[in-house]
Amino acid sequence: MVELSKVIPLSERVRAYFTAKEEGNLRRGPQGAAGRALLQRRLGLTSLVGMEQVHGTALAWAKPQTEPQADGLLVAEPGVGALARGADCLLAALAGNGAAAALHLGWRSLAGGLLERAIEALQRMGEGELVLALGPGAGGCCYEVGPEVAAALGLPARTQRVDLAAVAAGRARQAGVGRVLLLGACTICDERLFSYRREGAEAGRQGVVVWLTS
Amino acid sequence: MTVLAATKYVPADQLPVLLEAGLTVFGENRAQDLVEKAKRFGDRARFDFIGALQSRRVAEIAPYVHLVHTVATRSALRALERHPPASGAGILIQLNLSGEPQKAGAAEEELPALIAAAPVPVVGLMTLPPQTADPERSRPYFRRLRELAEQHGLAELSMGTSQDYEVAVEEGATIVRIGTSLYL
Repeated sequence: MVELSKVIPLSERVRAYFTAKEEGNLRRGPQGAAGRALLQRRLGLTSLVGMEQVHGTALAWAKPQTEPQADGLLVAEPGVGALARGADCLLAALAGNGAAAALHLGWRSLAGGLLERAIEALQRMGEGELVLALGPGAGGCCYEVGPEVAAALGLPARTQRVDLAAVAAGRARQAGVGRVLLLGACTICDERLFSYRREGAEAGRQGVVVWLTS
Repeated sequence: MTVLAATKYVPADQLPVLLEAGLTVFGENRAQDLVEKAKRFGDRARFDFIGALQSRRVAEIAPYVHLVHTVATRSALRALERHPPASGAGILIQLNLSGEPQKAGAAEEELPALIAAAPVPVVGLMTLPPQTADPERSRPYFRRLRELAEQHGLAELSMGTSQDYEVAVEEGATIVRIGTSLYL
């Protein structure tokens, strides 16, 4: 069961945490600095590593004091939090037991295969049973898309709305993920969350943090 | 578009007639009928399950079934996890869009969770609109099913029977289930 603002055990050693709007803005740069510092303290992490997210399919390792250009952040060092941020893009935590990843899954990254790449990366590391927790993202109730998005996701051209979490859930199961957990909250209509569609370019960012316990 | 011949009332001995007529996709409502017919004709045709799915029957049909159209509960998904069908098989989630209490099917709100929990690929959705003499009354249900399939990234739409298949096709059906009209 995925809930906002709760530490979620995904495996014996991996934990995930999805933030709500009331916990502050986690944006890159100075606007999100206070929110990120607070979050790191609250979760008791030695460091919190974010990404310069570019709606691509690159994966990087979370190394303290870095901010790689990527949309998937792998972590295996205990106490280091991997952070993915979003407003309407789907946020996800993928966990093995010795490694995990925080994912920023907008439609471009989802269509490009970032989820499958992350699953493969953990499988190659010998992580057995994988668990995927899908957090907030634009939901099927509200997320209107044009034909280019539908085509990229392999959906019929007349598709009008898309549920990013449901698309990701189906893909993850097909790629061999053993368990998929859903928050089931739509950023566009759930005001506990930041939304680019609802709030515009100045919208803040919520986040997902994934880390390993020691 | 696939025409699925619902062969609940067709004895196995008469299936060759339908095969010769060019039909290659059959839908069975009972597990034991599917197994019997698939054992005999599985090399020439594909057999889908379209009846009420009892979890304890999943093991029987698993080796023979191509698509199960009537998955609607967590217990059915758990049974499919214990007895996975052959590779290449898939399931459709049956939705009860009319809210008729006597009718099987999940509510549309349950769909993401069912997709997430499914141990075999969810390839599409199925629904049965209320019985009616006017096919147009089925249209809103078919349209809603199509919207939901699109939203959830699912390709197959099993909708429309002899009573309303034309409307179903207009609304995007990829599989129509034709029973009575094929054999009259």
